[in-house]
This record gives sequence, C-alpha cells and structure tokens, in this order.
Amino acid sequence: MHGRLKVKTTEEQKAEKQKEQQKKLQLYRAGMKKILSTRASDLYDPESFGISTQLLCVNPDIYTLWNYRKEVLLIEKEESSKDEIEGDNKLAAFLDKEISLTEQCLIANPKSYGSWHHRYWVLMLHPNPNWDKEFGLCTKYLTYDDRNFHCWDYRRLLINKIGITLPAEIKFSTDCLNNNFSNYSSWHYRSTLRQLDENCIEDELNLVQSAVFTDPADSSAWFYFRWVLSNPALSKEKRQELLDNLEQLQELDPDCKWVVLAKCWLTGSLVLSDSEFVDKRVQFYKELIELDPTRKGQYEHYLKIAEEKLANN
Amino acid sequence: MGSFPKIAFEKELHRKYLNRFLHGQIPSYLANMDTTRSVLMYFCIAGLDILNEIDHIPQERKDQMIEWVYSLQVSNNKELVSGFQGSTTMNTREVPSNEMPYEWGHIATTYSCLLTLLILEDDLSRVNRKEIIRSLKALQLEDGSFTAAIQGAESDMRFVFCAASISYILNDWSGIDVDKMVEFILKSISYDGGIGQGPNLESHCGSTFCAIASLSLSDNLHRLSSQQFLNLRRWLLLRLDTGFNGRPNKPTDTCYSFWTGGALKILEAYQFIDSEQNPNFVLMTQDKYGGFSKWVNSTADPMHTYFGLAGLSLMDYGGLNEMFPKLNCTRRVHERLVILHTQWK
Repeated sequence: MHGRLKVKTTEEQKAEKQKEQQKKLQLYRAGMKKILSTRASDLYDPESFGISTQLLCVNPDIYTLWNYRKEVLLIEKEESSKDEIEGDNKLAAFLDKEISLTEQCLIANPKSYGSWHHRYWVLMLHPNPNWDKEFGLCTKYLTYDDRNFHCWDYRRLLINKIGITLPAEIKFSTDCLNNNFSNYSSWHYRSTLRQLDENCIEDELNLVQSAVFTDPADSSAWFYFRWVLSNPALSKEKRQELLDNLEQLQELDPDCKWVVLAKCWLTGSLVLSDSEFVDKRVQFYKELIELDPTRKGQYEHYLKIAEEKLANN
Repeated sequence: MGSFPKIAFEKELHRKYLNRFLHGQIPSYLANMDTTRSVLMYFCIAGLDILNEIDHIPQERKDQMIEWVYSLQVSNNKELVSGFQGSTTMNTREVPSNEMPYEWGHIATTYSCLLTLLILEDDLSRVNRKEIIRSLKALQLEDGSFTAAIQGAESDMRFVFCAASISYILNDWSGIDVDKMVEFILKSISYDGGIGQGPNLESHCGSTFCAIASLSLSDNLHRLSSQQFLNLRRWLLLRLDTGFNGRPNKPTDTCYSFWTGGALKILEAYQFIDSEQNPNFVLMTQDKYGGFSKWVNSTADPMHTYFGLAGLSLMDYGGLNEMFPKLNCTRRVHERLVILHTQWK
C-alpha cells in the first residue's frame, strides 16, 4: 500500500467508476437476494447455495452465510433420512464437499473463527465422520504454524472423538517440545494434559528445567517452570537443589532477569520458607531493578514489602 | 536500555485518517469489512473521541451517522434476534416494513453500535432495550459463555465481554446468569495465571482483558483469589517487551497496548511499568499518511489506529482524552452514560 502514486481523477473517470461500482453492487445484491429468498420456501436451491460458496471463498467472515448453509445442510439431512438405502451415502457426499469448502477458506485465512466452527459442526452432522483423517490434518497443520490457537483448540475437540489415550497425547506433547522448546503453545497444551503429582513431578521438572537451562533468555518455558515449582509435591530438598542450580546458571548468564525472577519465586511466598530467605530476596529485587528497568515499579513494590519484613524479623 | 529517538505524534494526520473512513473512502484491501461496517465506524468514531474531536463534527453529520446506526437495529419479538447488525449488506428487502430472513443482531456489533451511539451523544432512547436483553439471554450457553448470534457461532470470552458490556450500558443484568458467567471466567484461568478464550485454552491478552473487564463491569473482581489476582498481574506485566505483546514469544503489536495495558489498569498494576519508554513502540507504528498499524512498517488500519490511540491514552501521553478501560471507551463517554442511567430510573 505504501509508495503508491496519486493520480488525479477526472470527473469522467469518477462517473465511470461509480457506474462500475453500481453494477457490482447490483450483482452482489441480486446474489444475496437469491440466497436469502430461498429460506422461507424450505427448499434447497443449488444456485443460491453455489453463490454462497463463492461469497464465502472471498469472505469467510460472513456468519449469516454459514448459518444459511447450516439450514440447507439440515434440510439435506432430513431428506436423506427418507432414503433408507442410499440416504447416508448421499448425505456424506454432500457434507464432504462442505468440509472441502471450509478447508479452502482456512487455507486462505487460517484464523477464520467461522470456518473452524463450521467445519466441526459439519463433521458432527456427518453420518460417518473421518475423525482420524481430521486428526492427521490437524497434526500436520501444527507443523506449519505451531502457535495457531484455533488449531490447538480443534485438536482438543478431536481427541475426545478418536479416543486417543492420554499417554499417547503426552508423548505428542513431549515430541513437540523436544522439537521446539520455545513454543509457548506446546507448554500450554501440556499443562492441560497433566495433573501434577508425586508420580510425574520429577519428570516434568526435568523436562522444563532442561528447557530453561538451555536458553534462559527465552520466556516460553519459565511459566511452566513456575507452575511446577508451585506444586506442593515438590520436596524441600529438591527446591534447595534448584536454588543452587539457578545460582550456577546466573553465573553463566548474569544478565538474565528470568533466572533472578525464578529465585524470587523459589524463596518467596511460593515455596521455601519465607522468613529464612527474606534477606536474599531483598538482594534479588535490587538485582531485578537493574536487570529489568521496564518493570522497575513492580520490583520496588516487592522490595519494600521484603525490607519491611526484614526489619520486623 | 538505549534511549529511542523522539518520534513525533502526528495527531492531525490521525484525525484526517479516521475522517477519511467516515466519509466512505475505504481502501479496497478492507473490502471484506463490508459486512461489519458498523465496527469500522465504531473504531473511527471512538478514535476521534480519544483525540477529543467529537465536538468538531457538525451536528447534522452526527445525526446522519446516528440514523444510520439505528437503521441497523433489529427488533423482532418473534425470534430472539434483536440487537444491531454489522451492516446493511445482508439486507435484501425492498419494503422497509417487511420482515426479512436472516436479519439478526450480532453480539459484537450490538456492543459497538451502542458505544457509537453513546460517543455521538445520542441518548439511546430509540434502543429497544428490553428486546435486546431478552435476546441476549438466549445467547448464554450452559457453561456460562456466550455465542454471538442465535443461529449459532463460536462461543468464547470475546462474547462474554460483549454481553457484559451490553448489560452495563443498558443498565440491566437480567439477560445474564452472572454466577455462571463468573464461573466460566474462573475456569478459563490457565496454569500460567493468564486467561484463555475458554477453559483449557491458551492464555491471551485479548481474552484476559475481556475476562477481567467482564468481572469488573459486573462488580465481581473480588471473586478472584488473591493468588489469582497476583498471578494475573505477573503474567500481564511480563507481556511488556519493547511494547506489549499478546502472548509470550509473540511479536509486540500495537493493539495490545490497550488489551494488556487496559487489563493492567483494571488490576491497578499499570503504575508498575516504566511509561517513559513505553509510547515509543506505538509511535513507531504510525503510518506516514496517518493511522497506526499492527507492526512497524506495515499498513495502517482503523482497528490498530483506535487501539494505538487508546494505548497512548493509558500512558497519559499526548494530551488525549482519558480512557475508562473496562468499557473500552473514554471517561467522558462513561460519565454521560452514568447520567443517562439516572434518567432511566
């Protein structure tokens, strides 16, 4: 859009353009009218349906058109139920085309809420939905864009359909993270699969610890780290060991705010005995004020609380 | 941190940019917004309001716009579809009195049309308040969330916020089961402390704003435990990079200067960030022809222009009108709303 030259429009050109726009507008209105006029008659009109396909390919955000199509699909279902022998096949063939349409829309705009929503709705109506294929597509798409939350949400809907086991999905999550530690969406997804308890807490800690220690400046895994730390199943010895590890990490990477933040979490209200470490926390907050001046105000606030505590000790 | 060069705030260009849209000069790359033109209008009017320019719009022009917004109102006592439409694009009737198929309100356009009317100093007297609230009630799902329109659409935190705002503006909460709504919000808090579009979904500053604002509008912020409150603050504060981002490890984006900043304001934590460096990122996304864009060196659009201005206002920058974050409008507009509420009693 930048750097485009401005051309003066003569009155004549203006009039011509207006005429052209009017023509387009009339075509559009005629299309819409054709589509919408069929609602009352309860009849499926292939021409209208076709026009709505074209319109949605151009703009998948017209939710009225998705809803129009839902009504048509419901009529199709009703009709097919009258045909005991061929009904299901006919309906399936019809709905398969609908699934292709949503695919086309999603390729054009992978973040179209309406297209994702419609796709799932159609599959739910399908007499013989191929959830496994859907699941395969979803896994494949996540390799193209691993932050598309629509696709992650969709995956969650699908795992309930294909009856995948929890360990299999946890393995998928581990693979995702081993492939890319710095994908925040994968960490989130993992948090929804795991109930942290004494059986798995060490494994989770090892996984997330190797992520944050590999690249401490990357923010992705630190919240998961904090989440694991906040779990009471983690022993006091383990916490002390972690604190020592963080001290070592800080020596290697003295400018990383996350390391100092994690030390605050470990010694603060979250975990290790509060009063025992309050003098250390005073020091940590002072370091943070230097390391992370954008959030200075917050650290000064906590510093004040810690100093008051220290004075009262 | 190195200091940024001072960047000029091109107020006048932004005024011109927003006015161009209001005069119907919509570039072709935004043609797909045709079905949601009322939202486009809202961003322009609301942006001009932050620039303190509403008084400079001639009354006649305001009246025209008010009439247009009212022409989008759907009042239907047979089907529960009352509200405001996105635009007239979907309307095909020739005789205005005839009922028309698919003439349905949408929760997001109802929200933005009501705000547009308020900003244009309309008294909302022609808003069919009862029917809108009755229709709103039909949009709440079993889990407490809201869908956007009666015939179905996705349901998530965005529409919870629209529902809460509509109820707040119309001063009538009878269309919402507030307990269920609060439950839905609390269930959507993620492991990291932020809030997603729904339960189990990834935290996002847009949905976090919507959730916190809905709690605040319905007087339910106290339903957050102190731990939840602190976790939210922490997650949001750490969204500040060179500017605000919407999720960890995502690029800084102009619109989050409002979504994230506004959420921090509601949680009374905005003062914890350094606001001196903060305006720079937003200012860098100014287009040389006016307007703000999502990122540096990309094309401006009205949505990011509005949120850029709203974000700068939160930073108390540039002599802009002050925001009333939880309703996503200026304090000036909110004060007028409060007066209207007393008149309705």
